Amino acid sequence: MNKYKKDLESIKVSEEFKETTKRILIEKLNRKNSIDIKKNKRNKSLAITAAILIIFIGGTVVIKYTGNKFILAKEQNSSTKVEAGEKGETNFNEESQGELLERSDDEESTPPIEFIPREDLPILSINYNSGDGMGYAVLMAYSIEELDNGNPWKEDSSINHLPVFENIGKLNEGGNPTGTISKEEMKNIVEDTARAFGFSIDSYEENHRSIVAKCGEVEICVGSDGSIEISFLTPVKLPSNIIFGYGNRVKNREDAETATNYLVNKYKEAIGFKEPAVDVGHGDYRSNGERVWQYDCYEGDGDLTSEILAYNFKKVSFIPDDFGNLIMIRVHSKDISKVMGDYPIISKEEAMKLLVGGNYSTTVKEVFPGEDYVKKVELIYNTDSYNEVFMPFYKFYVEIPTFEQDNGLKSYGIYTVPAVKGKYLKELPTAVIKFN
Amino acid sequence: MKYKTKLSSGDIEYFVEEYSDMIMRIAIHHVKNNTEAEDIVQAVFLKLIEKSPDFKNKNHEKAWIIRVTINLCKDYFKTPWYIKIVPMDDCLAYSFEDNEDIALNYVKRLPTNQRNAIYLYYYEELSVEEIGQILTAKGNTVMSWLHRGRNNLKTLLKGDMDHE
Repeated sequence: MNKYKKDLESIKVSEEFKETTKRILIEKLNRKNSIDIKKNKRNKSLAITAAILIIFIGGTVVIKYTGNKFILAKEQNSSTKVEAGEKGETNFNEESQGELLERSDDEESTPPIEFIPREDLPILSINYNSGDGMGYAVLMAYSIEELDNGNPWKEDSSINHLPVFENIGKLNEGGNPTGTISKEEMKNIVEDTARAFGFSIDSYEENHRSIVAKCGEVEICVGSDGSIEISFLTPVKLPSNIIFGYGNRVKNREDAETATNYLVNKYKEAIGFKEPAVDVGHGDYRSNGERVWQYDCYEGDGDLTSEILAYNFKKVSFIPDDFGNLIMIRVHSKDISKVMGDYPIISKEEAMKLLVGGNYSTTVKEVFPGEDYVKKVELIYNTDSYNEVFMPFYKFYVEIPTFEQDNGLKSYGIYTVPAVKGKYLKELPTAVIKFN
Repeated sequence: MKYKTKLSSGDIEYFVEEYSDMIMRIAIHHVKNNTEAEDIVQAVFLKLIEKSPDFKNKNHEKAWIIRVTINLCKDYFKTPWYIKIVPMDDCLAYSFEDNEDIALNYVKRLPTNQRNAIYLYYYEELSVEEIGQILTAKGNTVMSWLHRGRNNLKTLLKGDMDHE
Protein backbone atom coordinates (compact mmCIF):
# COMPACT_ATOMS: atom_id res chain seq x y z
CA MET A 1 0.00 0.00 0.00
CA ASN A 2 2.98 2.33 0.47
CA LYS A 3 3.74 2.11 -3.22
CA TYR A 4 0.11 2.87 -4.01
CA LYS A 5 0.15 5.91 -1.71
CA LYS A 6 3.38 7.09 -3.26
CA ASP A 7 1.87 6.78 -6.75
CA LEU A 8 -1.10 8.85 -5.66
CA GLU A 9 1.08 11.51 -4.00
CA SER A 10 2.57 12.27 -7.36
CA ILE A 11 -0.80 12.89 -9.02
CA LYS A 12 -1.35 16.62 -9.16
CA VAL A 13 -3.07 18.94 -11.55
CA SER A 14 -0.89 21.62 -13.08
CA GLU A 15 -0.99 25.27 -12.02
CA GLU A 16 -2.12 26.14 -15.53
CA PHE A 17 -5.11 23.84 -15.22
CA LYS A 18 -6.01 25.32 -11.84
CA GLU A 19 -5.89 28.88 -13.15
CA THR A 20 -7.97 28.07 -16.23
CA THR A 21 -10.50 26.23 -14.08
CA LYS A 22 -10.76 29.12 -11.63
CA ARG A 23 -11.33 31.60 -14.45
CA ILE A 24 -14.10 29.47 -16.00
CA LEU A 25 -15.74 28.84 -12.65
CA ILE A 26 -15.70 32.48 -11.61
CA GLU A 27 -17.37 33.41 -14.90
CA LYS A 28 -20.02 30.74 -14.26
CA LEU A 29 -20.47 31.93 -10.69
CA ASN A 30 -20.91 35.55 -11.72
CA ARG A 31 -23.51 34.54 -14.26
CA LYS A 32 -25.33 32.45 -11.65
CA ASN A 33 -25.21 35.19 -9.04
CA SER A 34 -26.64 37.76 -11.43
CA ILE A 35 -29.55 35.39 -12.20
CA ASP A 36 -30.07 34.83 -8.46
CA ILE A 37 -30.18 38.58 -7.81
CA LYS A 38 -32.91 38.99 -10.42
CA LYS A 39 -34.87 36.10 -8.87
CA ASN A 40 -34.47 37.56 -5.37
CA LYS A 41 -35.76 40.94 -6.51
CA ARG A 42 -38.85 39.28 -7.97
CA ASN A 43 -39.34 37.18 -4.79
CA LYS A 44 -38.89 40.27 -2.63
CA SER A 45 -41.76 42.10 -4.32
CA LEU A 46 -43.93 39.01 -3.89
CA ALA A 47 -42.92 38.80 -0.22
CA ILE A 48 -43.85 42.46 0.39
CA THR A 49 -47.29 41.87 -1.13
CA ALA A 50 -47.72 38.74 1.01
CA ALA A 51 -46.58 40.57 4.16
CA ILE A 52 -49.18 43.30 3.64
CA LEU A 53 -51.89 40.64 3.34
CA ILE A 54 -50.63 38.84 6.47
CA ILE A 55 -50.64 42.04 8.51
CA PHE A 56 -54.17 42.65 7.33
CA ILE A 57 -55.53 39.28 8.43
CA GLY A 58 -53.00 38.62 11.23
CA GLY A 59 -55.11 40.04 14.06
CA THR A 60 -57.71 37.31 13.72
CA VAL A 61 -55.03 34.58 13.77
CA VAL A 62 -53.39 35.96 16.94
CA ILE A 63 -56.71 36.13 18.78
CA LYS A 64 -57.58 32.53 17.85
CA TYR A 65 -54.14 31.26 18.86
CA THR A 66 -54.29 33.03 22.23
CA GLY A 67 -57.69 31.46 22.81
CA ASN A 68 -56.38 27.93 22.29
CA LYS A 69 -53.33 28.56 24.43
CA PHE A 70 -55.61 29.53 27.33
CA ILE A 71 -57.56 26.27 26.97
CA LEU A 72 -54.33 24.24 26.97
CA ALA A 73 -53.02 25.99 30.08
CA LYS A 74 -56.27 25.36 31.94
CA GLU A 75 -56.20 21.65 31.06
CA GLN A 76 -52.60 21.29 32.10
CA ASN A 77 -53.39 22.75 35.52
CA SER A 78 -56.18 20.25 36.01
CA SER A 79 -53.84 17.26 36.02
CA THR A 80 -50.15 16.96 36.54
CA LYS A 81 -50.22 13.52 34.92
CA VAL A 82 -50.57 15.02 31.49
CA GLU A 83 -47.11 16.51 31.74
CA ALA A 84 -44.38 14.48 30.18
CA GLY A 85 -40.87 14.98 28.94
CA GLU A 86 -39.34 16.64 31.96
CA LYS A 87 -36.18 18.11 30.55
CA GLY A 88 -33.28 15.85 31.38
CA GLU A 89 -35.26 12.75 32.29
CA THR A 90 -37.21 10.08 30.46
CA ASN A 91 -40.78 9.16 31.28
CA PHE A 92 -41.88 5.89 29.76
CA ASN A 93 -45.17 5.65 31.64
CA GLU A 94 -47.61 4.14 29.14
CA GLU A 95 -50.49 4.19 31.64
CA SER A 96 -50.47 7.92 32.14
CA GLN A 97 -50.49 8.30 28.39
CA GLY A 98 -53.53 6.07 28.16
CA GLU A 99 -55.35 8.33 30.62
CA LEU A 100 -54.30 11.22 28.56
CA LEU A 101 -55.90 9.92 25.40
CA GLU A 102 -59.22 9.45 27.17
CA ARG A 103 -59.10 12.72 29.10
CA SER A 104 -60.52 15.39 26.82
CA ASP A 105 -64.17 16.17 27.61
CA ASP A 106 -64.69 18.93 25.12
CA GLU A 107 -62.96 17.61 22.02
CA GLU A 108 -65.54 19.23 19.78
CA SER A 109 -64.52 22.70 20.89
CA THR A 110 -60.77 22.13 21.14
CA PRO A 111 -58.16 20.95 18.64
CA PRO A 112 -57.58 17.17 18.50
CA ILE A 113 -54.93 16.99 21.21
CA GLU A 114 -53.61 13.49 21.79
CA PHE A 115 -50.90 14.40 24.19
CA ILE A 116 -49.95 17.54 26.01
CA PRO A 117 -46.24 17.82 26.67
CA ARG A 118 -44.57 20.38 28.85
CA GLU A 119 -44.51 23.70 27.12
CA ASP A 120 -40.78 24.03 27.65
CA LEU A 121 -39.90 21.13 25.35
CA PRO A 122 -37.20 22.57 23.12
CA ILE A 123 -37.99 23.11 19.44
CA LEU A 124 -35.86 20.67 17.44
CA SER A 125 -33.65 21.83 14.64
CA ILE A 126 -32.63 19.15 12.15
CA ASN A 127 -30.40 19.44 9.13
CA TYR A 128 -32.19 17.21 6.66
CA ASN A 129 -29.27 17.52 4.28
CA SER A 130 -26.80 15.66 6.42
CA GLY A 131 -25.48 12.14 5.77
CA ASP A 132 -28.29 9.69 6.05
CA GLY A 133 -27.68 7.69 9.26
CA MET A 134 -30.81 5.74 8.51
CA GLY A 135 -29.61 2.92 6.31
CA TYR A 136 -29.13 2.46 2.60
CA ALA A 137 -30.63 4.82 0.09
CA VAL A 138 -31.92 1.96 -2.03
CA LEU A 139 -32.41 -1.69 -1.05
CA MET A 140 -32.84 -4.46 -3.56
CA ALA A 141 -35.03 -7.54 -3.11
CA TYR A 142 -37.42 -9.70 -5.11
CA SER A 143 -40.25 -8.80 -2.72
CA ILE A 144 -40.69 -6.46 0.21
CA GLU A 145 -41.15 -9.38 2.63
CA GLU A 146 -37.49 -10.26 2.10
CA LEU A 147 -36.58 -6.99 3.78
CA ASP A 148 -38.29 -7.92 7.05
CA ASN A 149 -35.91 -7.13 9.88
CA GLY A 150 -35.73 -7.25 13.65
CA ASN A 151 -37.10 -3.76 14.32
CA PRO A 152 -39.21 -4.13 17.50
CA TRP A 153 -41.55 -1.36 16.26
CA LYS A 154 -44.25 -2.90 14.09
CA GLU A 155 -46.93 -1.19 12.06
CA ASP A 156 -49.53 -2.09 14.69
CA SER A 157 -47.36 -0.95 17.63
CA SER A 158 -49.12 1.48 19.93
CA ILE A 159 -46.67 4.14 20.93
CA ASN A 160 -47.28 7.86 20.79
CA HIS A 161 -44.35 9.50 22.48
CA LEU A 162 -40.63 8.82 22.42
CA PRO A 163 -37.57 10.47 23.92
CA VAL A 164 -35.34 12.74 21.88
CA PHE A 165 -31.66 12.92 22.80
CA GLU A 166 -29.00 15.53 22.45
CA ASN A 167 -26.19 14.14 20.29
CA ILE A 168 -23.31 14.65 22.69
CA GLY A 169 -20.92 13.08 20.22
CA LYS A 170 -21.80 15.48 17.40
CA LEU A 171 -18.89 16.02 15.06
CA ASN A 172 -17.30 19.43 15.40
CA GLU A 173 -15.85 21.62 12.67
CA GLY A 174 -12.63 19.66 12.71
CA GLY A 175 -14.62 16.49 12.13
CA ASN A 176 -13.98 15.15 15.62
CA PRO A 177 -16.64 14.22 18.15
CA THR A 178 -17.11 16.73 20.95
CA GLY A 179 -18.04 16.19 24.57
CA THR A 180 -17.81 12.45 24.33
CA ILE A 181 -16.14 10.01 26.68
CA SER A 182 -12.67 10.78 27.96
CA LYS A 183 -9.53 8.82 27.16
CA GLU A 184 -9.73 7.36 30.66
CA GLU A 185 -13.28 6.12 30.10
CA MET A 186 -12.26 4.72 26.70
CA LYS A 187 -9.45 2.83 28.40
CA ASN A 188 -11.89 1.51 31.00
CA ILE A 189 -14.13 0.21 28.22
CA VAL A 190 -11.14 -1.45 26.55
CA GLU A 191 -10.18 -3.13 29.82
CA ASP A 192 -13.77 -4.20 30.59
CA THR A 193 -14.11 -5.64 27.09
CA ALA A 194 -10.83 -7.53 27.34
CA ARG A 195 -11.89 -8.91 30.73
CA ALA A 196 -15.34 -9.93 29.46
CA PHE A 197 -13.82 -11.83 26.53
CA GLY A 198 -10.96 -13.26 28.58
CA PHE A 199 -8.16 -11.51 26.66
CA SER A 200 -5.04 -10.09 28.26
CA ILE A 201 -3.78 -6.76 26.96
CA ASP A 202 -0.18 -6.64 25.68
CA SER A 203 0.00 -3.00 24.59
CA TYR A 204 -2.00 0.11 23.73
CA GLU A 205 -2.05 2.47 20.76
CA GLU A 206 -3.81 5.82 20.94
CA ASN A 207 -4.88 8.52 18.54
CA HIS A 208 -7.25 11.44 18.96
CA ARG A 209 -10.32 9.35 18.14
CA SER A 210 -9.67 5.90 19.53
CA ILE A 211 -7.69 3.57 21.76
CA VAL A 212 -6.55 0.22 20.45
CA ALA A 213 -5.45 -2.58 22.76
CA LYS A 214 -3.41 -5.41 21.31
CA CYS A 215 -4.21 -8.74 22.91
CA GLY A 216 -2.16 -11.32 21.00
CA GLU A 217 -4.12 -12.19 17.88
CA VAL A 218 -6.98 -9.89 18.88
CA GLU A 219 -7.30 -6.11 18.75
CA ILE A 220 -9.86 -4.16 20.75
CA CYS A 221 -10.57 -0.68 19.43
CA VAL A 222 -12.78 1.76 21.39
CA GLY A 223 -13.88 4.96 19.67
CA SER A 224 -14.57 8.28 21.34
CA ASP A 225 -18.30 7.64 20.82
CA GLY A 226 -18.01 4.46 22.92
CA SER A 227 -18.26 2.06 19.98
CA ILE A 228 -16.17 -1.08 20.26
CA GLU A 229 -14.55 -3.24 17.57
CA ILE A 230 -12.99 -6.58 18.44
CA SER A 231 -10.91 -7.74 15.49
CA PHE A 232 -9.71 -11.33 15.24
CA LEU A 233 -6.44 -11.20 13.33
CA THR A 234 -6.66 -14.96 13.03
CA PRO A 235 -10.28 -15.51 11.94
CA VAL A 236 -12.44 -17.59 14.27
CA LYS A 237 -13.64 -20.79 12.61
CA LEU A 238 -17.25 -21.82 13.17
CA PRO A 239 -18.47 -25.45 13.33
CA SER A 240 -19.00 -26.96 9.87
CA ASN A 241 -22.77 -27.16 10.35
CA ILE A 242 -23.03 -23.39 10.89
CA ILE A 243 -23.34 -21.49 7.61
CA PHE A 244 -22.05 -17.95 7.95
CA GLY A 245 -20.63 -15.41 5.50
CA TYR A 246 -21.41 -13.49 2.34
CA GLY A 247 -22.98 -14.20 -0.99
CA ASN A 248 -24.74 -17.43 -1.74
CA ARG A 249 -22.99 -19.40 1.01
CA VAL A 250 -25.94 -18.56 3.25
CA LYS A 251 -29.00 -19.88 1.49
CA ASN A 252 -31.83 -18.45 3.54
CA ARG A 253 -32.91 -16.48 6.59
CA GLU A 254 -32.90 -19.62 8.72
CA ASP A 255 -29.19 -20.20 8.02
CA ALA A 256 -28.42 -16.57 8.92
CA GLU A 257 -30.44 -16.76 12.13
CA THR A 258 -28.83 -20.05 13.13
CA ALA A 259 -25.37 -18.55 12.65
CA THR A 260 -26.27 -15.42 14.64
CA ASN A 261 -27.82 -17.46 17.43
CA TYR A 262 -24.71 -19.61 17.57
CA LEU A 263 -22.45 -16.53 17.88
CA VAL A 264 -24.77 -14.84 20.38
CA ASN A 265 -24.61 -17.96 22.57
CA LYS A 266 -20.86 -18.30 22.14
CA TYR A 267 -20.27 -14.73 23.32
CA LYS A 268 -23.38 -14.35 25.49
CA GLU A 269 -21.49 -13.75 28.73
CA ALA A 270 -19.22 -11.17 27.17
CA ILE A 271 -22.01 -9.34 25.37
CA GLY A 272 -24.07 -9.28 28.54
CA PHE A 273 -27.59 -8.97 27.05
CA LYS A 274 -30.33 -10.47 29.22
CA GLU A 275 -32.54 -11.42 26.28
CA PRO A 276 -30.63 -11.02 23.03
CA ALA A 277 -32.92 -10.38 20.06
CA VAL A 278 -31.47 -11.60 16.75
CA ASP A 279 -31.74 -9.37 13.69
CA VAL A 280 -30.50 -10.68 10.33
CA GLY A 281 -32.76 -8.85 7.91
CA HIS A 282 -30.77 -5.70 7.30
CA GLY A 283 -29.03 -6.94 4.22
CA ASP A 284 -30.42 -6.94 0.73
CA TYR A 285 -29.35 -8.24 -2.69
CA ARG A 286 -26.43 -7.19 -4.81
CA SER A 287 -27.27 -6.43 -8.42
CA ASN A 288 -25.77 -9.82 -9.40
CA GLY A 289 -28.49 -11.54 -7.37
CA GLU A 290 -26.37 -12.42 -4.31
CA ARG A 291 -28.17 -12.03 -0.99
CA VAL A 292 -26.34 -10.18 1.76
CA TRP A 293 -27.23 -10.86 5.37
CA GLN A 294 -26.33 -8.88 8.48
CA TYR A 295 -25.70 -10.78 11.69
CA ASP A 296 -26.87 -8.44 14.46
CA CYS A 297 -28.39 -8.65 17.91
CA TYR A 298 -29.66 -6.20 20.50
CA GLU A 299 -31.08 -6.26 24.04
CA GLY A 300 -34.65 -7.52 23.80
CA ASP A 301 -35.36 -7.19 27.51
CA GLY A 302 -37.73 -4.44 28.69
CA ASP A 303 -40.78 -2.60 27.36
CA LEU A 304 -41.27 -1.54 23.75
CA THR A 305 -39.57 1.83 24.22
CA SER A 306 -36.51 0.18 25.79
CA GLU A 307 -36.36 -2.26 22.89
CA ILE A 308 -36.65 0.54 20.33
CA LEU A 309 -33.79 2.41 22.00
CA ALA A 310 -31.65 -0.73 22.21
CA TYR A 311 -32.35 -1.55 18.57
CA ASN A 312 -31.36 1.92 17.40
CA PHE A 313 -28.54 2.81 19.76
CA LYS A 314 -26.79 -0.32 20.97
CA LYS A 315 -26.37 -3.22 18.61
CA VAL A 316 -23.81 -5.96 18.29
CA SER A 317 -22.79 -7.09 14.79
CA PHE A 318 -20.81 -10.18 13.83
CA ILE A 319 -18.68 -9.65 10.73
CA PRO A 320 -17.64 -12.63 8.57
CA ASP A 321 -14.86 -13.01 6.02
CA ASP A 322 -15.34 -14.58 2.60
CA PHE A 323 -14.78 -18.07 3.96
CA GLY A 324 -17.43 -18.09 6.68
CA ASN A 325 -15.11 -17.27 9.58
CA LEU A 326 -15.70 -14.55 12.16
CA ILE A 327 -13.29 -11.63 11.79
CA MET A 328 -14.90 -8.94 13.92
CA ILE A 329 -17.47 -8.23 16.60
CA ARG A 330 -18.66 -4.64 16.50
CA VAL A 331 -20.65 -2.98 19.28
CA HIS A 332 -22.41 0.06 17.80
CA SER A 333 -23.01 2.56 20.51
CA LYS A 334 -24.33 6.10 20.74
CA ASP A 335 -24.35 8.20 23.87
CA ILE A 336 -28.01 8.86 24.70
CA SER A 337 -27.48 9.96 28.28
CA LYS A 338 -28.77 13.48 27.67
CA VAL A 339 -32.54 13.40 27.16
CA MET A 340 -34.04 16.57 25.70
CA GLY A 341 -37.57 15.48 26.45
CA ASP A 342 -40.31 13.02 25.75
CA TYR A 343 -41.91 14.18 22.52
CA PRO A 344 -45.30 13.32 21.07
CA ILE A 345 -45.03 11.50 17.78
CA ILE A 346 -47.40 11.39 14.86
CA SER A 347 -49.07 8.23 13.60
CA LYS A 348 -47.83 6.39 10.51
CA GLU A 349 -50.95 7.62 8.69
CA GLU A 350 -50.07 11.24 9.47
CA ALA A 351 -46.51 10.54 8.37
CA MET A 352 -47.84 9.15 5.09
CA LYS A 353 -49.71 12.42 4.51
CA LEU A 354 -46.46 14.33 5.00
CA LEU A 355 -44.68 11.99 2.60
CA VAL A 356 -47.35 12.40 -0.07
CA GLY A 357 -47.27 16.17 0.51
CA GLY A 358 -43.53 16.26 -0.22
CA ASN A 359 -42.29 16.69 3.37
CA TYR A 360 -39.61 14.03 3.16
CA SER A 361 -35.89 13.64 2.81
CA THR A 362 -34.13 10.95 0.81
CA THR A 363 -30.90 10.02 -0.89
CA VAL A 364 -32.79 8.53 -3.85
CA LYS A 365 -32.39 10.57 -6.99
CA GLU A 366 -36.05 10.11 -7.84
CA VAL A 367 -39.08 12.18 -6.93
CA PHE A 368 -41.46 10.26 -4.67
CA PRO A 369 -43.56 8.22 -7.15
CA GLY A 370 -46.78 8.15 -5.09
CA GLU A 371 -48.57 6.43 -2.21
CA ASP A 372 -49.27 3.28 -4.25
CA TYR A 373 -45.56 2.54 -4.34
CA VAL A 374 -45.10 2.63 -0.55
CA LYS A 375 -44.53 -1.00 0.43
CA LYS A 376 -43.41 -0.80 4.05
CA VAL A 377 -42.95 1.64 6.92
CA GLU A 378 -40.75 1.49 9.99
CA LEU A 379 -40.08 3.78 12.92
CA ILE A 380 -36.39 4.36 13.48
CA TYR A 381 -34.07 6.92 15.03
CA ASN A 382 -31.71 8.95 12.90
CA THR A 383 -28.30 8.25 14.37
CA ASP A 384 -26.32 10.51 12.04
CA SER A 385 -23.24 11.81 13.86
CA TYR A 386 -23.55 15.28 12.33
CA ASN A 387 -27.00 16.05 13.73
CA GLU A 388 -27.61 18.01 16.92
CA VAL A 389 -30.23 15.53 18.11
CA PHE A 390 -31.23 11.90 17.80
CA MET A 391 -34.94 11.84 17.07
CA PRO A 392 -37.39 9.31 15.63
CA PHE A 393 -38.35 9.21 11.95
CA TYR A 394 -40.73 7.16 9.86
CA LYS A 395 -38.78 5.28 7.24
CA PHE A 396 -40.80 4.47 4.11
CA TYR A 397 -39.70 1.78 1.66
CA VAL A 398 -40.86 2.99 -1.72
CA GLU A 399 -40.71 0.78 -4.78
CA ILE A 400 -38.96 2.66 -7.57
CA PRO A 401 -40.47 1.26 -10.78
CA THR A 402 -37.76 2.68 -13.03
CA PHE A 403 -35.05 0.84 -11.07
CA GLU A 404 -36.38 -2.72 -11.59
CA GLN A 405 -33.76 -5.04 -13.04
CA ASP A 406 -34.00 -7.67 -15.75
CA ASN A 407 -33.47 -10.45 -13.18
CA GLY A 408 -36.63 -9.35 -11.34
CA LEU A 409 -34.86 -7.56 -8.49
CA LYS A 410 -36.90 -4.61 -7.29
CA SER A 411 -35.43 -1.48 -5.76
CA TYR A 412 -36.92 0.06 -2.67
CA GLY A 413 -35.90 3.66 -2.07
CA ILE A 414 -35.83 5.01 1.48
CA TYR A 415 -37.79 8.20 2.14
CA THR A 416 -37.91 9.54 5.69
CA VAL A 417 -40.37 11.80 7.49
CA PRO A 418 -39.83 13.20 11.02
CA ALA A 419 -41.97 11.34 13.55
CA VAL A 420 -41.99 14.16 16.12
CA LYS A 421 -45.04 16.40 15.89
CA GLY A 422 -44.50 19.33 13.56
CA LYS A 423 -45.07 21.96 16.25
CA TYR A 424 -41.83 20.86 17.92
CA LEU A 425 -39.79 21.07 14.74
CA LYS A 426 -38.17 24.23 13.50
CA GLU A 427 -39.03 23.13 9.99
CA LEU A 428 -40.16 20.11 8.00
CA PRO A 429 -38.12 18.72 5.11
CA THR A 430 -39.42 19.69 1.70
CA ALA A 431 -38.46 16.94 -0.75
CA VAL A 432 -34.86 17.13 0.40
CA ILE A 433 -32.62 14.96 -1.77
CA LYS A 434 -29.35 14.62 0.08
CA PHE A 435 -26.03 15.24 -1.56
CA ASN A 436 -26.38 15.60 -5.31
CA MET B 1 -12.84 28.12 5.25
CA LYS B 2 -15.91 30.06 6.29
CA TYR B 3 -19.05 27.98 5.77
CA LYS B 4 -21.79 29.75 3.92
CA THR B 5 -24.33 29.08 1.24
CA LYS B 6 -23.52 31.78 -1.29
CA LEU B 7 -20.20 31.20 -2.99
CA SER B 8 -17.77 33.99 -3.82
CA SER B 9 -14.77 34.07 -6.15
CA GLY B 10 -12.59 33.70 -3.04
CA ASP B 11 -14.41 30.47 -2.25
CA ILE B 12 -13.76 29.21 -5.78
CA GLU B 13 -10.08 29.99 -5.28
CA TYR B 14 -10.13 28.02 -2.03
CA PHE B 15 -11.99 25.00 -3.39
CA VAL B 16 -9.83 24.68 -6.50
CA GLU B 17 -6.61 24.97 -4.49
CA GLU B 18 -7.79 22.67 -1.75
CA TYR B 19 -9.52 19.89 -3.66
CA SER B 20 -8.30 19.72 -7.29
CA ASP B 21 -5.61 17.15 -6.55
CA MET B 22 -7.90 15.00 -4.42
CA ILE B 23 -10.63 14.96 -7.09
CA MET B 24 -8.02 14.15 -9.72
CA ARG B 25 -6.76 11.24 -7.61
CA ILE B 26 -10.24 9.82 -7.17
CA ALA B 27 -11.18 10.35 -10.81
CA ILE B 28 -8.03 8.67 -12.11
CA HIS B 29 -9.27 5.47 -10.41
CA HIS B 30 -12.36 5.45 -12.59
CA VAL B 31 -11.78 6.99 -15.99
CA LYS B 32 -9.53 5.94 -18.82
CA ASN B 33 -7.08 8.79 -19.03
CA ASN B 34 -5.91 12.05 -17.51
CA THR B 35 -7.98 14.26 -19.80
CA GLU B 36 -11.14 12.55 -18.65
CA ALA B 37 -10.04 12.91 -15.03
CA GLU B 38 -9.59 16.64 -15.57
CA ASP B 39 -13.07 16.83 -17.02
CA ILE B 40 -14.32 15.29 -13.79
CA VAL B 41 -12.41 17.87 -11.71
CA GLN B 42 -14.14 20.72 -13.50
CA ALA B 43 -17.52 19.00 -13.43
CA VAL B 44 -17.31 18.64 -9.64
CA PHE B 45 -16.68 22.36 -9.21
CA LEU B 46 -19.52 23.19 -11.57
CA LYS B 47 -21.77 21.01 -9.44
CA LEU B 48 -20.54 22.91 -6.39
CA ILE B 49 -21.57 26.23 -7.95
CA GLU B 50 -24.89 24.79 -9.05
CA LYS B 51 -25.76 23.36 -5.63
CA SER B 52 -24.02 25.85 -3.30
CA PRO B 53 -24.32 23.36 -0.43
CA ASP B 54 -24.38 24.64 3.13
CA PHE B 55 -21.43 22.77 4.59
CA LYS B 56 -21.47 22.23 8.33
CA ASN B 57 -17.77 21.70 8.70
CA LYS B 58 -14.63 20.73 6.85
CA ASN B 59 -15.44 17.03 7.09
CA HIS B 60 -18.87 17.50 5.60
CA GLU B 61 -17.38 19.60 2.82
CA LYS B 62 -14.79 16.97 1.96
CA ALA B 63 -17.32 14.13 2.15
CA TRP B 64 -19.66 15.99 -0.21
CA ILE B 65 -16.88 16.55 -2.74
CA ILE B 66 -15.76 12.91 -2.61
CA ARG B 67 -19.32 11.72 -3.01
CA VAL B 68 -20.02 14.01 -5.95
CA THR B 69 -16.74 13.01 -7.61
CA ILE B 70 -17.57 9.31 -7.36
CA ASN B 71 -21.08 9.88 -8.70
CA LEU B 72 -19.82 11.95 -11.61
CA CYS B 73 -17.25 9.28 -12.44
CA LYS B 74 -20.05 6.70 -12.53
CA ASP B 75 -22.13 8.92 -14.79
CA TYR B 76 -19.29 10.04 -17.02
CA PHE B 77 -19.77 7.56 -19.83
CA LYS B 78 -23.52 7.30 -19.50
CA THR B 79 -24.75 10.85 -19.58
CA PRO B 80 -25.15 12.84 -22.74
CA TRP B 81 -25.50 16.04 -20.69
CA TYR B 82 -21.83 16.18 -19.90
CA ILE B 83 -20.12 18.89 -21.88
CA LYS B 84 -16.42 19.19 -21.70
CA ILE B 85 -15.77 22.80 -20.95
CA VAL B 86 -12.12 23.08 -21.79
CA PRO B 87 -9.67 20.81 -23.59
CA MET B 88 -6.57 20.54 -21.46
CA ASP B 89 -4.60 17.74 -23.05
CA ASP B 90 -1.21 19.03 -22.06
CA CYS B 91 -1.85 20.45 -18.64
CA LEU B 92 -1.41 17.42 -16.42
CA ALA B 93 1.86 17.14 -14.60
CA TYR B 94 1.97 13.34 -14.57
CA SER B 95 0.52 10.64 -16.72
CA PHE B 96 -0.14 7.07 -15.67
CA GLU B 97 -1.64 5.83 -18.84
CA ASP B 98 -0.41 2.45 -20.07
CA ASN B 99 2.12 2.13 -17.31
CA GLU B 100 1.89 -1.26 -15.62
CA ASP B 101 4.71 -0.64 -13.17
CA ILE B 102 2.63 1.35 -10.75
CA ALA B 103 0.48 0.01 -7.92
CA LEU B 104 -2.41 2.30 -8.84
CA ASN B 105 -3.05 0.31 -12.01
CA TYR B 106 -3.70 -2.79 -9.90
CA VAL B 107 -6.18 -0.92 -7.72
CA LYS B 108 -7.89 0.35 -10.87
CA ARG B 109 -8.63 -3.27 -11.81
CA LEU B 110 -10.71 -3.84 -8.68
CA PRO B 111 -14.53 -3.61 -8.68
CA THR B 112 -15.75 -0.01 -8.13
CA ASN B 113 -16.77 -0.28 -4.48
CA GLN B 114 -13.54 -2.02 -3.48
CA ARG B 115 -11.54 0.59 -5.40
CA ASN B 116 -13.32 3.48 -3.68
CA ALA B 117 -13.03 1.88 -0.25
CA ILE B 118 -9.32 1.15 -0.69
CA TYR B 119 -8.58 4.71 -1.79
CA LEU B 120 -10.61 6.37 0.98
CA TYR B 121 -9.21 4.09 3.68
CA TYR B 122 -5.55 3.99 2.73
CA TYR B 123 -5.01 7.35 1.12
CA GLU B 124 -7.58 9.68 2.70
CA GLU B 125 -7.29 7.73 5.97
CA LEU B 126 -11.02 7.88 6.61
CA SER B 127 -12.62 5.54 9.13
CA VAL B 128 -14.87 2.70 8.03
CA GLU B 129 -17.85 4.66 9.38
CA GLU B 130 -16.94 7.76 7.40
CA ILE B 131 -16.47 5.72 4.24
CA GLY B 132 -19.85 4.11 4.88
CA GLN B 133 -21.46 7.55 5.06
CA ILE B 134 -19.85 8.69 1.84
CA LEU B 135 -20.59 5.51 -0.11
CA THR B 136 -24.02 5.04 1.52
CA ALA B 137 -23.16 1.65 2.93
CA LYS B 138 -23.03 0.07 6.33
CA GLY B 139 -19.75 -0.32 8.17
CA ASN B 140 -19.55 -4.04 7.73
CA THR B 141 -20.18 -3.71 4.01
CA VAL B 142 -17.22 -1.33 3.81
CA MET B 143 -15.17 -3.80 5.88
CA SER B 144 -16.06 -6.49 3.40
CA TRP B 145 -15.06 -4.31 0.41
CA LEU B 146 -11.72 -3.58 2.06
CA HIS B 147 -11.16 -7.21 2.89
CA ARG B 148 -12.05 -8.40 -0.60
CA GLY B 149 -10.10 -5.55 -2.19
CA ARG B 150 -6.95 -6.52 -0.31
CA ASN B 151 -7.40 -10.18 -1.21
CA ASN B 152 -8.03 -9.35 -4.86
CA LEU B 153 -4.96 -7.14 -4.94
CA LYS B 154 -2.87 -9.98 -3.56
CA THR B 155 -4.25 -12.28 -6.26
CA LEU B 156 -3.63 -9.73 -9.01
CA LEU B 157 -0.07 -9.06 -7.88
CA LYS B 158 0.65 -12.76 -7.52
CA GLY B 159 -0.85 -13.47 -10.95
CA ASP B 160 1.39 -10.88 -12.60
CA MET B 161 4.46 -12.12 -10.79
CA ASP B 162 3.69 -15.73 -11.78
CA HIS B 163 3.19 -14.58 -15.33
CA GLU B 164 6.60 -12.97 -15.36
